[in-house]
Amino acid sequence: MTLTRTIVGTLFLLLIAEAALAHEAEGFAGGFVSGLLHPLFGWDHVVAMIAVGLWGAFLGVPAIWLLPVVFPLVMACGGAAGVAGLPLPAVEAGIAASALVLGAMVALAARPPLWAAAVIVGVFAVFHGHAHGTELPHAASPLAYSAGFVISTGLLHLSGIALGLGARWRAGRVAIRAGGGAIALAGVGFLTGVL
Amino acid sequence: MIPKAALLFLAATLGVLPAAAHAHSPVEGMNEFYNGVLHPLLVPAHILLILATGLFIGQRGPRENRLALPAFFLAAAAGLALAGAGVAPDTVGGLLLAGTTAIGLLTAAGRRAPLPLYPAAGAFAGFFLGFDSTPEALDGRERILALVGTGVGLNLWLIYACGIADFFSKKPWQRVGLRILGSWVAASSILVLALTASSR
Repeated sequence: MTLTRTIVGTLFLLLIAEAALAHEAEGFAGGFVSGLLHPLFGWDHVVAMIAVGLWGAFLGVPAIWLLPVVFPLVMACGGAAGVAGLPLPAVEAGIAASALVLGAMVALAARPPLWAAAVIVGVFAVFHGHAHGTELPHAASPLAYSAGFVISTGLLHLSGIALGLGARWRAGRVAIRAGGGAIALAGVGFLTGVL
Repeated sequence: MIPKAALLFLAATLGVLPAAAHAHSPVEGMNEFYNGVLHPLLVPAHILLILATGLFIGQRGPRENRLALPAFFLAAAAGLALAGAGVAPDTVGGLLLAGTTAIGLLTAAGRRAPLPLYPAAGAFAGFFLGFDSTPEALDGRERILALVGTGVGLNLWLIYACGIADFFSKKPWQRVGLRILGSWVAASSILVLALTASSR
């Protein structure tokens, strides 16, 4: 009788038990939150995206509005290459270099022709997209994950643009160029492995 | 020997615990109609296509392309009728994403597209959204209620997206905001389209 109770009790407990999850990254919401947070937890991504926005603000119209429209699309092409398993050499070095180059552009207040700026930003967008794209097949909900990381990246650009609007004032320009210098230095740190 | 009472208890426990499997979990406590209304919001691919189509039509102004919304309505009705008839779609997912990418890119381009493209986009989105909304594990009156609810939901959410895009397309920075949203929608779809293609 005791054995019977033990068996029934054990079966009952087994039936009502649920899996313990370290992270509740399931379904649409889990996938979206994972995607949203992914770019925010990599400082190399964060500073490079903010640098894109800052540089766009320095370049003025139409670059300030063109970059946030074009960047996600180019990044998605890089991401598609990552998803397809197309190898891209030195992805991490490319991302680190993006912080260095874009930060330097802001620090120097460089104003190349629009096409040249678009090519520079586009090349780095491919590296950033490739890094995100390789994570996509492991996401709980790939569509929600990709929407999350595209929105997150876009919001980082808009943060950079918002900060860059301070370039209207002299003190603001100095502060933004100093910020660009700090981003470039961080890029050196990422490249050398110090950061 | 296990006593009869213990076996009965075990059988009752096993009978109570299993739940029906659904492709999209219905919201508990709501009838089929309201679950149908919410259905488009529970499928990420549907949300993105509704958003892309709404932004695209609203960006141009619904008053300028009066055929776009009726085209969506009629096509959605046709798609839902086929879904209700049990024509089970297997390959619609890729088409939904491809359509979302194309419409998102047109929105991101921000230029006035040729007028016939607006009702064409509406008809495409309406038909495939309806076609991909087969109510599962429902029959008879409940199935019809779910389909009608989905039809109402699809049109309602599209009109909301369209109205918001129309309202926020007056100032230059608002139009840029719509283009940015269009590029985000297209970028998300491109990635998943690539994933779908690579997993085949």
